[in-house]
Amino acid sequence: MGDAFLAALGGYLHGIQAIGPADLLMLAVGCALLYLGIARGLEPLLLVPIGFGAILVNIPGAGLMAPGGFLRTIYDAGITNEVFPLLIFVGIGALTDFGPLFSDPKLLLLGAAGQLGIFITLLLALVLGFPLRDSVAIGVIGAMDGPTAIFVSAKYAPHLLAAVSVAAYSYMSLVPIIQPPIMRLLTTKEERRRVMPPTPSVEASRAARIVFPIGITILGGILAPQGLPLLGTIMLGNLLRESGVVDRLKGAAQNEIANVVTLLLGISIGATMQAEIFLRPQTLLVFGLGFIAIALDTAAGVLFGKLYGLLSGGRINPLIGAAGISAYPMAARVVQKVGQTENRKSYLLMPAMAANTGGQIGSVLAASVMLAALAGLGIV
Amino acid sequence: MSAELQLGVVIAVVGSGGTLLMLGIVALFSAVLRRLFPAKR
Repeated sequence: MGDAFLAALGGYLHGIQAIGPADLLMLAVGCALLYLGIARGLEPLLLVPIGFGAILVNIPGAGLMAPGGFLRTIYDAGITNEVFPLLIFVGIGALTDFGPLFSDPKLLLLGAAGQLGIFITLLLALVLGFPLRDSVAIGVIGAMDGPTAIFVSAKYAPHLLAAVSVAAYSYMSLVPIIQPPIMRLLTTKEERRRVMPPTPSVEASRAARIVFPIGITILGGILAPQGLPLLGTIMLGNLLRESGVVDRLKGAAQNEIANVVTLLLGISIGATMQAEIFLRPQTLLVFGLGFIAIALDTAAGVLFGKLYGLLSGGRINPLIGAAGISAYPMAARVVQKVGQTENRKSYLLMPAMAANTGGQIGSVLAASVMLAALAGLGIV
Repeated sequence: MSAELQLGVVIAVVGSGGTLLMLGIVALFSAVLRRLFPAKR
């Protein structure tokens, strides 16, 4: 009887005996993510479930990521097979208005410059000794696009999934802090004060809005089929939005599906933050390279904006180039705010939204092209 | 230059060029749609 009591009490003590400094550190990391999400409001929809998942998985003895465990089941159901990020894309497509790009399609090209950070960071990661597949996953942080980063990382470097995802979402939330100094550094006061002529008010017709996602899916899918899951799901969501005949599905994609999957995605990413996987020097390198990727995206976008301004005879404010990233519509708002700070008569929101739409599509296309190139080289 | 770095350079060049090309196609497609299906004013 006494032995039985001791054995039962031992069950309570098991967790205390098993916990080590690495687990405690990761519990602190989980709490820090919760703090950033709850108290600082940084991407709370993702950082709260990620932080809580990190806490759950680092409590020893619970075995939540062991085969059959609660978190392992969710992870296998949606991350291993990449379903969760793709379902998020359906929601993003249903929430995105591609209308601004019809008003001035040329501004879409700024979305290409905003992806340059992906490719330069890929090279930097290779120089630092990361294997090619890992470098691809790290570079994709520069897409500034959480689901794309998760999709590529889960496919090619699952051991980096936690670092890549947390870096991508953290830096996305820091766009209003990271971008303005780079924008100011690379432009003159005269350029920042430049007032752009009003964007021609071209409303896209319903037919154009409906044909757009269908046509882009077919064209993009044929050119880079490896990226079709990404492109196809975002365009499906947009078709639900623009068709006007499936309001229930549109609403579900924007709300119920997006919300449920965001929760499951977040907690699954948190579940990959086990101490033995996350607490490695390479995690810090991933965070550092991710920051460089995002800074390079902004710099390339602004420099491309300057070139565009030069070619247009000074009609383009180069600041809008910084909106050529996927953080939608946050980057466009940052551009508008910086422009207004310099010149109260400057209204950059509409052209910045067009560039930002280009960044949204550009991040998916960049990942698609990269996957196609990898397939062409026989690497995947 | 290591073989992996060479592959990385190829991917970076093809990837950035391909992204610009694909976005160019999207921009062209948008312009064509705008012309084919003009909005009623």
